[in-house]
Amino acid sequence: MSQNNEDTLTARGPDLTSISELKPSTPTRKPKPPKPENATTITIGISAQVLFNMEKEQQGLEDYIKYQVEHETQPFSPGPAFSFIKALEAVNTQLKELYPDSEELFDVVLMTNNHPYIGLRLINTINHHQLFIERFCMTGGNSPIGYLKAYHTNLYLSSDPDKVREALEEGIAAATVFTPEKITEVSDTQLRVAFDGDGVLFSDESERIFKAHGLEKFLEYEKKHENKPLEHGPLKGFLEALEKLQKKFYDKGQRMDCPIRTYLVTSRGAHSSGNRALKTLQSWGLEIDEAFFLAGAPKGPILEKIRPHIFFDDKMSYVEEAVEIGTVACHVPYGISQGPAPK
Amino acid sequence: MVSTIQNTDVKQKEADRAVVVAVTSRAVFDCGVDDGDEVCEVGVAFPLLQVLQRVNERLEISRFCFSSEEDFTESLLKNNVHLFLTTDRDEAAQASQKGVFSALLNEKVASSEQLRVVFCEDAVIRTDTEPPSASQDAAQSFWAQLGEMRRRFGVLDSPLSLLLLTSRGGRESCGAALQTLRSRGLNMDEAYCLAGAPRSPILSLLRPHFLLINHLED
Repeated sequence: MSQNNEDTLTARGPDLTSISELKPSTPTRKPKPPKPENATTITIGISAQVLFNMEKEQQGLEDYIKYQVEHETQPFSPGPAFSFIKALEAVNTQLKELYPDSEELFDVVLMTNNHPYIGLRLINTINHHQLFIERFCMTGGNSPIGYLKAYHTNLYLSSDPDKVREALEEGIAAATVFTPEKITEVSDTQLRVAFDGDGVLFSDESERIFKAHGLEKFLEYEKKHENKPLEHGPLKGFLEALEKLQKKFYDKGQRMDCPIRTYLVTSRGAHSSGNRALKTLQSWGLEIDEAFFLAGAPKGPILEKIRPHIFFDDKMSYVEEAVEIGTVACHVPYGISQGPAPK
Repeated sequence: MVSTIQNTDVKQKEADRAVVVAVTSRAVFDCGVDDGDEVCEVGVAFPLLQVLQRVNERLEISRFCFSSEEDFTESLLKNNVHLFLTTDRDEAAQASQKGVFSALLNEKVASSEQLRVVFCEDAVIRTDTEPPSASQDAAQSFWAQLGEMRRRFGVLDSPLSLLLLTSRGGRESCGAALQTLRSRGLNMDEAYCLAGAPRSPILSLLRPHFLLINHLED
């Protein structure tokens, strides 16, 4: 008996009568979603909890279910990652205009730990806000990490630090999203992504030296190794993916008004330690648009100026600073900054 | 010739509400060369039976009926079987033609803690307007009973888990599937909408015991 994998599971059964009368509201035109098996698609796994503002389960699961079903036609309001996702979709629209046959686009997958009873409310919410999300996972309590890998996820955003940590351990770029009390208004014509350097784009190797031996030794070390590229950090791949899309705009003469702009916001100074960072990016073939070498100064003022849709940092102190001025900041729980040195 | 062995150690409760599942013995025990005296190895269906037993323990209903013979379809119909499971595609086709809802077992199973059933999109939505056949009625009856069984357990910690997988359509078809299932009393435990993405990575993650879809060519 030679059957392929799919066949061994199939049932020979007929259709069932569909009695669905209450169809969810639908948008007028639906584009075809990109296929994730395409290596050039950039897949973003986003937790429903950060895309939307969802009520927390307080009453107990059965009551929560009842509440959600009763409010099924009431869309959730936007969450902290909403503008980021809208900006990704705006980039997609422009890419499709320039390259109608290309699959090199952002692909957003909605992930939720919830049971599918919340599915209809989420679908109605997506329709209401005119988002182009066609893929989702409602895992009913199971960990989403296996599914992130199955969907070839390039970046996972969640409000749950444990899941984020789990994803990072599996080699998936991930960050915990924090919500400002009042979100600063961001551009709706240009997607802006800001990254910290060490522990985010770069590994934590230099931070270890700083922590163990102090600032002077750190600066000495960086100067000595200025030409030695740093190892890559968890979000290097995501920056790489962004730059690939940027290049598509450059190729069509849209360098100055490119709909994607990237920023490096680092505590490294504008001397040797900063040089090493730039040279590392160069060695990787990456060209970040704007780099800010703060030499230890606070990051808040710069972020206020930049107004990124999203900012990634491995240090909670900077994440908190960013959140305070209204930036949607994401913590990357990676490396030595997270706690006492291992071993 | 029909030869039915009843397990008399186990009492049958609520016979009229029982979901009768028949499993071909070849899938339960792997006997290789028939030596007569040797105890057989466990077959691919063994974990499934363990799971069914687990479901049954919670339901306080127990009945196992093994039947093995050449013309088995008569026996299936006589026993009012709702779902026939086998690893043999021809057996499944035969049974289906006679109006018995059949499924092929996942040879690479699968949990022995929780019975996991995946509903595929096109099994839920009716795509044409043919009058319902005997096997369609059999399917509807099986689904109704499955839904009822699931409702006897709580949302969490259930030995039976119902999963929706929509492969081709986007959120609209997934939403419609969820509503149709709900109107039939089936509340899903998990739902996945692939919108064209390949199925095998997800299936190897979900580890279902069997999939319910329309057409084998899918």
